[in-house]
Amino acid sequence: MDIVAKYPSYVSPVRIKTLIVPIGKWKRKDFINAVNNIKEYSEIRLLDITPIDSSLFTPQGFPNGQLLFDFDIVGHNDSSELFLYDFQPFRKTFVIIGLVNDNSPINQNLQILKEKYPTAISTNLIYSNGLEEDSESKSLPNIFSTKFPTPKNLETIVCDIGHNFLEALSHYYSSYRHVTLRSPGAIGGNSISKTVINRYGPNTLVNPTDIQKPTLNSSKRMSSFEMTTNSIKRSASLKLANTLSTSDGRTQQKSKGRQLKILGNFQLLAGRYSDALTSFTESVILLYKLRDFLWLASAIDGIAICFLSLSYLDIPFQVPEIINLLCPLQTVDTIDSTKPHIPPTTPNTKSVPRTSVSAIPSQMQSPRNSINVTASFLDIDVTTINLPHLVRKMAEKILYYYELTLSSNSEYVPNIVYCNFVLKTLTFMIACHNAENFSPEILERIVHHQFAHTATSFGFDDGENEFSREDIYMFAIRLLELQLDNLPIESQVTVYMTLAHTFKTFGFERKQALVLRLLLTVLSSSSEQIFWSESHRTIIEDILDIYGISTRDSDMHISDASERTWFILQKNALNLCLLIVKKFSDTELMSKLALKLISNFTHMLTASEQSSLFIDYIQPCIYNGSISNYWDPFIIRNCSFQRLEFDEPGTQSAKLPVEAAISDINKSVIKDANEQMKTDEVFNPFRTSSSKKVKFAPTKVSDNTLLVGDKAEFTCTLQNPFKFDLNISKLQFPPNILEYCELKDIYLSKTNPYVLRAESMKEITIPVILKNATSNDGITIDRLSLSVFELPSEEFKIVNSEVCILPLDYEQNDASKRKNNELVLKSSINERCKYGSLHIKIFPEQPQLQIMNKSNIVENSLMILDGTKTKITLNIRNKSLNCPIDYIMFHSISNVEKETKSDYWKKFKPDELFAVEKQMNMLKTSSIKVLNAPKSLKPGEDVQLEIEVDVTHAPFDFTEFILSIKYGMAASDSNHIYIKVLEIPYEITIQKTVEIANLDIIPLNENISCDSSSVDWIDFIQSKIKDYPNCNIHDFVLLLLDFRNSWLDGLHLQVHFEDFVSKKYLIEASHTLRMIIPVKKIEFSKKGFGKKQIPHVVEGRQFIQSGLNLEQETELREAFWCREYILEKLSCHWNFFHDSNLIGSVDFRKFLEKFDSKMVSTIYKGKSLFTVKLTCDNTTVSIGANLKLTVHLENTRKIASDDIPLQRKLNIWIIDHKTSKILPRSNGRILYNGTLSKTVSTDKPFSAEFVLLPVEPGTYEICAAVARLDSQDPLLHFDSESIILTVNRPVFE
Amino acid sequence: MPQYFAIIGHKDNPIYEAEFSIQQGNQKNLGFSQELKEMNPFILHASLDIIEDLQWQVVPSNSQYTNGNNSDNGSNFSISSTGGFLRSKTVNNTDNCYLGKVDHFYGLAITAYISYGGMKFVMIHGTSNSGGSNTSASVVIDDSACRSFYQEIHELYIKTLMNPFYRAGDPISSPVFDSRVRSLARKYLNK
Repeated sequence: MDIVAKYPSYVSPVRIKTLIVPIGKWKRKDFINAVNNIKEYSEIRLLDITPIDSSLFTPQGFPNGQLLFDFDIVGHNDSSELFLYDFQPFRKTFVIIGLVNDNSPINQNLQILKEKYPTAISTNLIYSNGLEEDSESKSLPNIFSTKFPTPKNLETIVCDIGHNFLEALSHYYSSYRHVTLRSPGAIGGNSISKTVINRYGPNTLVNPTDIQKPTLNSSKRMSSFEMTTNSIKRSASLKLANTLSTSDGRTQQKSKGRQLKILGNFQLLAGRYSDALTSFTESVILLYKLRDFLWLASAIDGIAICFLSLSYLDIPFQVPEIINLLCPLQTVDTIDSTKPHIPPTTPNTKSVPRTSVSAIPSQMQSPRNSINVTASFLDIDVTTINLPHLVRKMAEKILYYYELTLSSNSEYVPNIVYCNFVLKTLTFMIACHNAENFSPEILERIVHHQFAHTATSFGFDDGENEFSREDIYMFAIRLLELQLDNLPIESQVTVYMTLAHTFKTFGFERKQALVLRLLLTVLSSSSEQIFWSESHRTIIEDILDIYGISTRDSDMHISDASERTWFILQKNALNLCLLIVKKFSDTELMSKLALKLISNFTHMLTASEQSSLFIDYIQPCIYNGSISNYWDPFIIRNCSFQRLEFDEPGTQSAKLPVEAAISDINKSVIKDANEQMKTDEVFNPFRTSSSKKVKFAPTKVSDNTLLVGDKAEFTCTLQNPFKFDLNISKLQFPPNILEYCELKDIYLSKTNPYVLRAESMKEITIPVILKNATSNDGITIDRLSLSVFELPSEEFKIVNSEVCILPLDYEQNDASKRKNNELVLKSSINERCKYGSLHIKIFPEQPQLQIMNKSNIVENSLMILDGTKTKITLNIRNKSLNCPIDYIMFHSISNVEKETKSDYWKKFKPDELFAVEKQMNMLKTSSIKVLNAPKSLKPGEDVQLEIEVDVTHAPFDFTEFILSIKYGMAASDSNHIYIKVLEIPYEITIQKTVEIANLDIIPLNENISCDSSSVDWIDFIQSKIKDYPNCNIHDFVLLLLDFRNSWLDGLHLQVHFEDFVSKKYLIEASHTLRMIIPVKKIEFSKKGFGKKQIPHVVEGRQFIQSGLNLEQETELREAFWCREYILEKLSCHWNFFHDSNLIGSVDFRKFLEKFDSKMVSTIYKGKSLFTVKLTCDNTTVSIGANLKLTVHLENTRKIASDDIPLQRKLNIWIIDHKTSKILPRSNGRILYNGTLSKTVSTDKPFSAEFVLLPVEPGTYEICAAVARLDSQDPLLHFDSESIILTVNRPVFE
Repeated sequence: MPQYFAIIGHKDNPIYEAEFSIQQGNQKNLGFSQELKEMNPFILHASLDIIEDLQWQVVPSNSQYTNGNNSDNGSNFSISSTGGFLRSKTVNNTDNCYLGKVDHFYGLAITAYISYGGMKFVMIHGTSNSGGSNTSASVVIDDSACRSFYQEIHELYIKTLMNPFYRAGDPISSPVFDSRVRSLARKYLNK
């Protein structure tokens, strides 16, 4: 059956039920088109029909009338309504039309139709493809031929069918003529469902003060006429009652009344409406007297139908008197004068403005009077009455009579009849409601049973409509007072659909939803086969719309997700819809609803509900393919990669190269050589440390950097918010990623899925196959392709986190959110969550450098003598088979560097800092060298490296170094290079050989005798003096160095200083040798050491303050430069006594102390402010001889600066040469006149003479010194030049 | 007789739901049948249509909804005397908020009350022996008690609204509110 049933029309008894049956092979579309063609001629005027010989039904009798065919293609189970055919004969399917599109024989077709539809009274065949001109076929009146889809003579055919019908009808009626008509209850017996009205008592709402009056329920619907007659009934003495009660006459009368009623029905079908009106009226009069309420009501119904049909045909008619009596109605005049808003719901005397007619006090009426009253009524012309209201009143009356029958055992109204009547009245009222006046259009609508298509928008009732909204509503819910359960399902569907439509017309959507829900409940519980078509989905869609389910999309919008709606309502409605959809196996809709339920109401469903939902609905849908997508868009949570199995444990980056731009590499090499910062920049203490590192290693090795062929795993977190297990059968990267890497699919397959437990979030880890290198920009994975429940794989975005908006925030942000919403829609960003992505880089396969075990040293440990170099060999090989090494670079780092703290330089004074840094620099640049560094290595190539270790300049705490080999291959785009590092540690022990134990500088005063020329340094000085006349012995100082041989073997040693070359000396093991090196004094005037800054090895350090004043700094600088002067020129080489091949050198820088001021002033000629020249007339005197000393003082600087006072004190000191003690001022050894001091002015050269008288013999040293006047310290300047005075005893002969 | 009471917000969202049933001596709990329990929200939801219709009627014709098939019974409704919810601005008391019986569905009567904020207080009155089956016994509702019940619930609701932590339109989850509503129900409805 078709669940979208027709809405019952008020005048449906007029229509001839006709069934069109396809014969042959029709396509549904063609057949429906053909039926639609026929339907155009459903209205046939009697004028066009050939007359028949039955006087009752001949079309000639009422040429204005018409036949109304109700063509249908849906069969109807006639037998179920068999009991109603006496009472309502129009329910029967009268005409069968077979539409034939093949050439099947006529007789056979007719035979089949008659067998299949035995109750039909007229059977016709239409051959659609044209019938061959056959004499036999022509002779038969019920065989027609036309051509579809362009039929020509269709109207004629339908007219002829009408003729056939009328003939058949007259036969059919004749069979009824002499039959006693029985009520349906009497025919059907107990199987007929009685109408059960579950009506409210009127006093639902009471005030306790109100006394609940025994209301006259029975009388409330009575007109005054009925009251009158009722009172007649009650008075047993009345004659009329007596005559009626005689059973014989009564039965006869009743039978006659019923016969008239059924005749009226047949006349309606035959289109003879005015005759029908007469028949019904007579029937009503008879039946009313007999109180045969069931048939009476039906007859009144017939009269109402006649009214409407006649109005439709625009034929004037008179309202029968009896109707006016039963349903007192004011004429149009009174309506116009009164307020249009009349609640016509109840035909009670109170609410209806009284007409003079009804104002009859019933109690007082005597029967005689009443007859007079009835006689005073006349037929009222139709034009003067409000027809809709009349029909409505008649309907009320009919319902009243129907309800009266309920007490009877057999003469009761069947439920279906009652319902049908309420329904058709309802449709009538709605049709009237939709239009302002009772216009022909309304009639047309009523007659053609078209439902009003929500034509007018329903605002407030303005009273213009025939029936108010409340009125219709109140009428409509009468249906809900009925017990509809026992109706045939078809009728129930009709009832509910009509109600739903009614409510929809009124805009009572929630009511509509309720009714639809009831309908679905009925459908779900019925066991009948129900035809379900696509169009019926609208029912479900309506329900979903009204309950606000379909608009909810919590996946996308947070407002939807957080909105508070009537969840239980929605959930239940959805469940019900699902049940229905499943019953009709509309899988497409089922999948949609099931997913909606599971995704929007997850939290509302219990575990058992969810699992049954899954098993009953979702799983079948998956199998049949109507669910093709997994429904939870947030299934994939975080993702990550892990590398596995490094070759060398502990060295994470051993295998993984660093990627660097080639330009960066070149830069970093330069930077590496001299770690410098830009000097023009202001020092930024926060940047220094980081900037260096960045330069060197431009790209940080992140976790998401992988290597082709690497073993790696992919981990992602999957969520299952549902209360059933999810089977994940496939997880893979999206196709654009697959080029580079893919997940091994052997771990997840259809046969071996991963089961994600209910309500859990699990991490799943799958090995990755890394296939190809990405470009250096890497690739971004933001989605994964996933297959759940063997659904086709689908891409899901990676969700990092859900967005939570607190309710308060939500409200505040509402306005701004609305703005954003547009953006959200545009960019299709899901506002529920934050999407994440995973950026990975895959490097190409890398070469690998291998160290071959062919080194000449054992266990990378090396013992080396200080001051020597050695070579170590190392074999390396490019282990990989197909990757060349395009780039190799060697670096070394020593433990000294490593152990140095980054702020080591803060504590040192400039000269010390220089020393430290110089040493480190030497260590870095010259101690370890790869002599034959290769530029590149082919795959499989090996190379022997020679590494020179030079510990000449290395400090003794140099114990180990690491040789790091940076190598790599260029990327395919040749902009980048991949660098790997191989580090080889070496341990070093430096054995001490030659050390400098002590250093001293002494001035050279005495003339050296020529005979001691065998000493190397004396020879040197003498030759110098000889060669250069200006040169004097005072120009030299002696540098005394104590060499100690700490080694086990004796060694030969030779020292060079400028052009001085010493002899080769042998130092035995553990012996010390003092060596004298003549050094020419440094000319003060030539080298301005005091103004020369101490250099920095590392430039760019700022804010270093030595904390020294100018004088101290000058002193520091002089000491520094003097030392540098010596170091620069001094060199020493040695070789072993036993093995002269083993040679070495001494790095004096390691050993020489800082110079103290005495050393500086000794070596630094002209450092003092004055030149004091002390001359003596004779250096050898005898006791008692006068000695004249001349002192010449000269200012060397020529400039009188402020800090040097002009007045100075010149002192002469006499020192005992042997004891090196200064003689006291007054002594008995050398006498002098006056003092040995003199105040001098220094601004000009000055000479003074002193006379001494030596008393004791001995050797004295006389020297002159200049001191400040005020200072206690006598010594300001001590000239190293002194005179050795030898005092001899006088030789007494 | 049991009742199903709900406060409905602007978006047809339930703010509060409760079912009242009576405990009569040693008798079993006389609540709604299981079938009706499921149906109640639907019935209540459907009656919102009628309530909204009444809410905006200038000339209230309440009686049409409530007693379409009777008028002769003498029970008069307050609403018809004071003139509809829309006229309530001229009246000082909350009389007009009470709509009385607005709808019925089979054996169930539905009464309603609208707050000035548009919250709908709706109640389904079941029959005392309603087993969901057809019973001819009609529901009798004490009009004034019902009105008082609604008015006190309205007061309670306003108190809830004044809670700074309560956001209008959210479900009321306060157990105090619930217990008070139930005690009111005992006081007025199921005496």
